[in-house]
Amino acid sequence: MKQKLSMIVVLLILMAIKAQSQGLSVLKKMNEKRVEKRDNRWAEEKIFKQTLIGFAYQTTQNTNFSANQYPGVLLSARGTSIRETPKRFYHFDNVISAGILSLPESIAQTYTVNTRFSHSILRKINPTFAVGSQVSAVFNGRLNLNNENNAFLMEAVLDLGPRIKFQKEINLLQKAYGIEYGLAVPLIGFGFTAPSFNTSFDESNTKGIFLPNKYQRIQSELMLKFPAGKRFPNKNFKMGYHWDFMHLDLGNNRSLNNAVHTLSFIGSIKKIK
Amino acid sequence: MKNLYKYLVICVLSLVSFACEQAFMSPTPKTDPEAVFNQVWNFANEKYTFFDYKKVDWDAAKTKYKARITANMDEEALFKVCNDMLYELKDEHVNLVSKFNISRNPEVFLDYPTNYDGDILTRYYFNGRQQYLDGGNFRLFDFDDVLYVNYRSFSDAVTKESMDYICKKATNKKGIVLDLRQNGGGSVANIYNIAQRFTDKKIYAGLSYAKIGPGREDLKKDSLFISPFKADTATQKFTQKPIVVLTNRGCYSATNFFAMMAKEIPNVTVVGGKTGGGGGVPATTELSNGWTLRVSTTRSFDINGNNIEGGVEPDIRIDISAADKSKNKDTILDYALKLIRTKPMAAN
Repeated sequence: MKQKLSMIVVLLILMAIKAQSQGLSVLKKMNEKRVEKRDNRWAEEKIFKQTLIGFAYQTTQNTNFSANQYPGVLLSARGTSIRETPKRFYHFDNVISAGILSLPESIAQTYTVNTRFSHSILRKINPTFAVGSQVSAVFNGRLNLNNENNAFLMEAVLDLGPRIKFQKEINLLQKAYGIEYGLAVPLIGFGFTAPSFNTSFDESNTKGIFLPNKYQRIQSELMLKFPAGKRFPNKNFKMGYHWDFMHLDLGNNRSLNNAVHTLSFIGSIKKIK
Repeated sequence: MKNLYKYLVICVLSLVSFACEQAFMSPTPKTDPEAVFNQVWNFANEKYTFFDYKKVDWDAAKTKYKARITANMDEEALFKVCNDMLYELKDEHVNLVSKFNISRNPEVFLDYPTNYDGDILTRYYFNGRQQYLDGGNFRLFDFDDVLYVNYRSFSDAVTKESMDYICKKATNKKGIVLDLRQNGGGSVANIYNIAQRFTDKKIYAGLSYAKIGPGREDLKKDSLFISPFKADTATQKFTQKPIVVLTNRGCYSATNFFAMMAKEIPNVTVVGGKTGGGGGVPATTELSNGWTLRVSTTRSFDINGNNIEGGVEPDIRIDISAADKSKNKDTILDYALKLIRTKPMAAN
């Protein structure tokens, strides 16, 4: 009886070992498949990093401060990372621009700095068109020490909304050119401006959630891609026109408007893989 | 054909999305004399906070002064009309600034004794031996047992290092005389940078009402507090010995606020003349012709409900008489030194 029992135990152990080894081999196969799938996906994906510099023309109007529209020319730098998979685009975009705003009649100039960071994920509907969403953080600051207690005006907003992208390769004279068009329209924002109606105290700033009836922003972009020379197979050049417009209702029939037209005419595109 | 259609759509989208910003913006204001006059009147009408306090009928002022506006008047003539209208507000915080002139109303200072003579101090009290701290923002004199600190303008930044130095230098003194006479104000932030060194506890120091809309009474109430400085060492504060703040009618705006708030600090005594007022923090706009205009946009009250636009009464009122001045005596400083030397903890 004792012998039979020990035989059964040994048998059970042997069966368990076999099952385990089979199970391990299944897991191993699954892992191999996963790695293969990942490698295939990685092999299919492209990553670009591009740097663009250029000039921006900005018009700013904050009717809490003045009804004047302040124009100015800014220097702009932009860094973009684009990851393209068979199904999606992943964009990371950083822009910083700085310059001077002034009316010809103004006694003192206004120094301005704008920064924008945006991240978007777009699903490819077909080879030329993609649609998705974008989250964007924008900060605009303006300093004019002549204005004393309201020397510094700023707005910082984080917004979310849909984005579309169209891109097409065009062959001209046996060379590959490219055209890209992007449009983002945030539908909801969260942030604050300083100062607001009363330009002396931070407590009275416009802040909170900005809904579409109060906050409108449009970012649109047209990019032309020129063919790379034979000496630089991993690089080519883009020329782009980018328009970023923000409108925020400040209440009391006041509004904040900031329009930045950026012409990026020098750039480098580095294909990482 | 299909491709052409796509490109057309892109072009239309581009044109529409790149060119519609003006639809959102308010039109650029005109620059003719009447338009500029209207901007001046409207800005003051919507933001100024003392029409009732000053008993000014602003609508009547518009009627009166608009009659002087003509289409062909030159810039200086337009400036004079706007200046005359703004003068009715009797407010040194109301200023129209052009490239050729600045409008102001100094009437508030004219009917009071000066109560300050820097030349007497330099020649007969300091013998030309003042210490210039932080580029001259603070002028110090060591009376051996009392530290005299003259802060010339609240527009000059008060750094942490300066206040550390002053508090440390005063550690072994009987007290500090903080002379703010003829300090015309500046940044509100500097009030707190100084006052926070003189208290160990949070002190309620007054009320402020800020405009939040165009209506006359569209105001938001805020309490004003002095919070203690978070010191690493005991020498970064001066809270246990008397501080005498010297004031005169030339103390305006931020200095006026400081006097109001300092009166609530237990070891501070305000001595001298009534301050000049300026109880409304001004805000600025730029007009379409490039001139800037600022007006008072808040109302402030001390803890007893007194509107400080007309000035802050000191704890101890002392004027420098003509007889004392002729003897080269600064009666206010003499009193402050005596107060510190005879009363280790000044009663507030």
